[in-house]
Amino acid sequence: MSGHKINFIYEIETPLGYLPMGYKHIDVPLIFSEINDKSTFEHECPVIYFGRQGYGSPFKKLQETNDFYSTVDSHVNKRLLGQLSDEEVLNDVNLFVITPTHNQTITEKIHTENISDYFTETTKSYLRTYKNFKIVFVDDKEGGLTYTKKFWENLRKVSKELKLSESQLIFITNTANIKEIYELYLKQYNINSFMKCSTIHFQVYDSPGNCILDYFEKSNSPDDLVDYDGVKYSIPYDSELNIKRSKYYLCMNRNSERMHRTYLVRDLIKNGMFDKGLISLFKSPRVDNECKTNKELNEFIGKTYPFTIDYEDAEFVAHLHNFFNTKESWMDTYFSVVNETTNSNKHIFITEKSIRPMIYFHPFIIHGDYGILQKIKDLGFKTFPEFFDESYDTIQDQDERRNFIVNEVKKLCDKPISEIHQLYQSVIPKLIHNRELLIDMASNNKKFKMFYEQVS
Amino acid sequence: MNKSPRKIKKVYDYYANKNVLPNALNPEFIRLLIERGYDRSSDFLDVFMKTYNDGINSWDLDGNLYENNIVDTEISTFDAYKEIVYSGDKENLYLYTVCPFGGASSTYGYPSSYSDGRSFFYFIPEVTKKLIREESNFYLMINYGNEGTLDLHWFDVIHYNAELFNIPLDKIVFIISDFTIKENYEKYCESRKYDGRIKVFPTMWSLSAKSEEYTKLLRDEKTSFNDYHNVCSVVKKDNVDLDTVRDKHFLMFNRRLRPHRYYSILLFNQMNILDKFDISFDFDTCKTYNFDEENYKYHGTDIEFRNKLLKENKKVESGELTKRIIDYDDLPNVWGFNFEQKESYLNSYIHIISETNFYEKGLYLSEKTWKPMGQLQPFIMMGPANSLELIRSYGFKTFDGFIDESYDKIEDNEERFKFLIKEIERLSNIPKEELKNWYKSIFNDILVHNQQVLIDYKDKDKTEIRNEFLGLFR
Repeated sequence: MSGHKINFIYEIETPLGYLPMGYKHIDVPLIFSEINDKSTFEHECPVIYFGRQGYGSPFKKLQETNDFYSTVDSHVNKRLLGQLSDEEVLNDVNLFVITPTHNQTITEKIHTENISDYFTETTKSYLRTYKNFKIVFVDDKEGGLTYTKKFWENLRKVSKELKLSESQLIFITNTANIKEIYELYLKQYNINSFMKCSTIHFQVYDSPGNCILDYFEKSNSPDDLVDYDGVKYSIPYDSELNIKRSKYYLCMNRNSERMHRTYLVRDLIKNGMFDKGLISLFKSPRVDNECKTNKELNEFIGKTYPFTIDYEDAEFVAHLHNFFNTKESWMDTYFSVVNETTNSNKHIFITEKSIRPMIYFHPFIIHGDYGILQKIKDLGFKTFPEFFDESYDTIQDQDERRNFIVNEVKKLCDKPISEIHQLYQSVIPKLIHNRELLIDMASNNKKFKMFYEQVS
Repeated sequence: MNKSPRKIKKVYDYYANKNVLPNALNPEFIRLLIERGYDRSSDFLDVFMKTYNDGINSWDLDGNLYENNIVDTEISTFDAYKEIVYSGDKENLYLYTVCPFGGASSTYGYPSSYSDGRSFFYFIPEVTKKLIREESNFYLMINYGNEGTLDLHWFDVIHYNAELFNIPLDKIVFIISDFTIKENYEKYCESRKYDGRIKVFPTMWSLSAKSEEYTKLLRDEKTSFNDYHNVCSVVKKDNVDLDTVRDKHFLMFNRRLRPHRYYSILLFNQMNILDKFDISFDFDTCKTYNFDEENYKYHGTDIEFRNKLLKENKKVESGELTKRIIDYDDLPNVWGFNFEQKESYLNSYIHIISETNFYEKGLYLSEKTWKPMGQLQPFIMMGPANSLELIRSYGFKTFDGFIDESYDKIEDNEERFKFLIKEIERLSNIPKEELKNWYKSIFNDILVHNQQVLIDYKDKDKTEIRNEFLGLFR
């Protein structure tokens, strides 16, 4: 990759490292107080500063909490604004990067705060003067969020205040259709474009592929388990693709707070498919509450759940690696019914839930956002019309989409399992392709290159 | 450290844009810095003081103010921090500097409104405290080198907080422009029955600074101080007409009317000799001392003498004695640097140095001491005992014989003050013609010599001082 050098610019360096951009200056004294209280450079867990978790990300000596930084760390220079040379000021791509935290998403920040409060007057003057100084919001955590008029107006406000050109204000997110959402806003309010929006599927690139490679580097046989942060995981070998399985599908949900997931499980059970697959669904106050007034939900879920597959401890599961567990449940089923994080008709968010089947050699049907399957295809992954009528992806009505999906699963579950085995065998090249694509996506700094293209 | 460090590095916790932020500052007070984009230049100190009045003069607002005359300090800011943390560098000496620049009380937690009574120790990050505790070449340096007035009770604060935060006393260095600090600290510790000792070290900030200024003026270069850019001048050898009789006997600058200045002005007025002075004072805008019977108790026990002063003070109270100026009218805004005008020094013979301290403990010489040296004037020191001895130790000559300099050895402040007043009265009775002849007789041998010693000082080999300083860390 050639071109301009990229610098991440900060205003403050502290004993623990650079203070990430994106704090309101009124909070800085309190942040300093918190830093002063920390007794070590090495923190076991993310530091919480004034309600903002994930502070550690740009700090070399703190645990990396933000995958984004591990992606770019070796490719960018981190500098204080005042330390830039004249040449760097004039020629480099100088970015004020604002990333999300565990308890505050980027959209929440933009919705609720005055963006210009993040910058000193000195910084603002650089932004006004030099077009190679840019503000970049990177939402590498979320993607299934609502982008309201207020969200766009706040971005427009800072653009106007700092006299930013279109290329100086950049929003990069997991949301697969962010460009369309932005263009719709511009069209709706008859506004000229004032910023750049783009998608990087942070959860698809790097991490899955790297972990696959890591597993095969550390394991010698299909029976081996590899340790990740104290938890064992395993991944199927190619040689295991012919193994016969006892169940049709795997439907991992764990968290039942997102009701669309619970409704799907309810419908699977209601249609007599509980025993045909492996389903996990943990208890949640929200479901319990709804069961009090919703007889059907209580009948199929409330009375019988929680359902577990591998782990019973919800707290423990919450801290698990998002992509991996041991492969038993995957090896005992033929396909995945993915219950995505959201099932919106506005945004499209591809999470690790849609990626896991590719790691574990599963065909999949996705109960998620309208149009998600097409976005997955656009990334180069193969889907499975051999198994499912994939027109569900074009159904806007959420109930109708869910019903369609349940019906597709039922059609398969009504067939003899030997037929599913045969069907599975027929798509093995696609399964291998998908996993190899994940490995490829982790190679040659693809994620950083995408980032570089967006910001330079 | 067993051997001499390769470099001395100052360490800062926070770095913002182009500036280091003052170490161990109450984070609350960085709001103002933030609003100004972390720019500490220009009038920041004034704005800071106005915003956080309450006796807070802030700290280390210049970051490295006048430290290069103490040791050959390399300013390496935050990189030094990383270096020691990450590489375990043992070759260099790291000094985490806290500068109670003009605001020692607030630094130590007084007044309590500044930081709820918390001393600066509270605001040192834990990671830094750990380095001070654990790294053999990492020290806390309280750099009070710009000031010389010490309240020995501050050592109680330092000892108390060192224990509270588990910081070994021998990892703390205290620098002050007071050449009695070692004896006074030792005596104080003995009186308080303290076991451990911090390291104390005297420094002379004012001599280098004034040396720099006069050197520039002798080269006809411009000088400046903070936001002041006055056109200044110095008396050069060739400017002096040794055969012309000058108008006045004495020159005496007084800005803040501290007790010894206050009293002496009263007495000169009472003796009817003020017309023999070029003298500045302003009892309206610079009366920083409230003189009454009660306050005089701190300065003397001679009731008759006190009453004489109180009687004369009625002229101040009545407005009869108010103000005199020499060169600049706005006395509150006159400073020790960038306000030099040679004319002031060419109209009189004897410079009465009204030092900052007189009754206070310690031996502190400010920039005021070096003015007569720079401007080719004889002087009489209205300052701490043993000042002349210290001045002479730098190679300057004084005027014993013509002036009775035995005052320098009088430790009792009241006695020394009375002696000085008598001596000035005696000198005021010497005819100006005689003063002219005396001045002429010492011009080359003493006055020109002193000016040369002064300008040479900035380039003087500081190895001895450096070695003495580094000796603290062996």
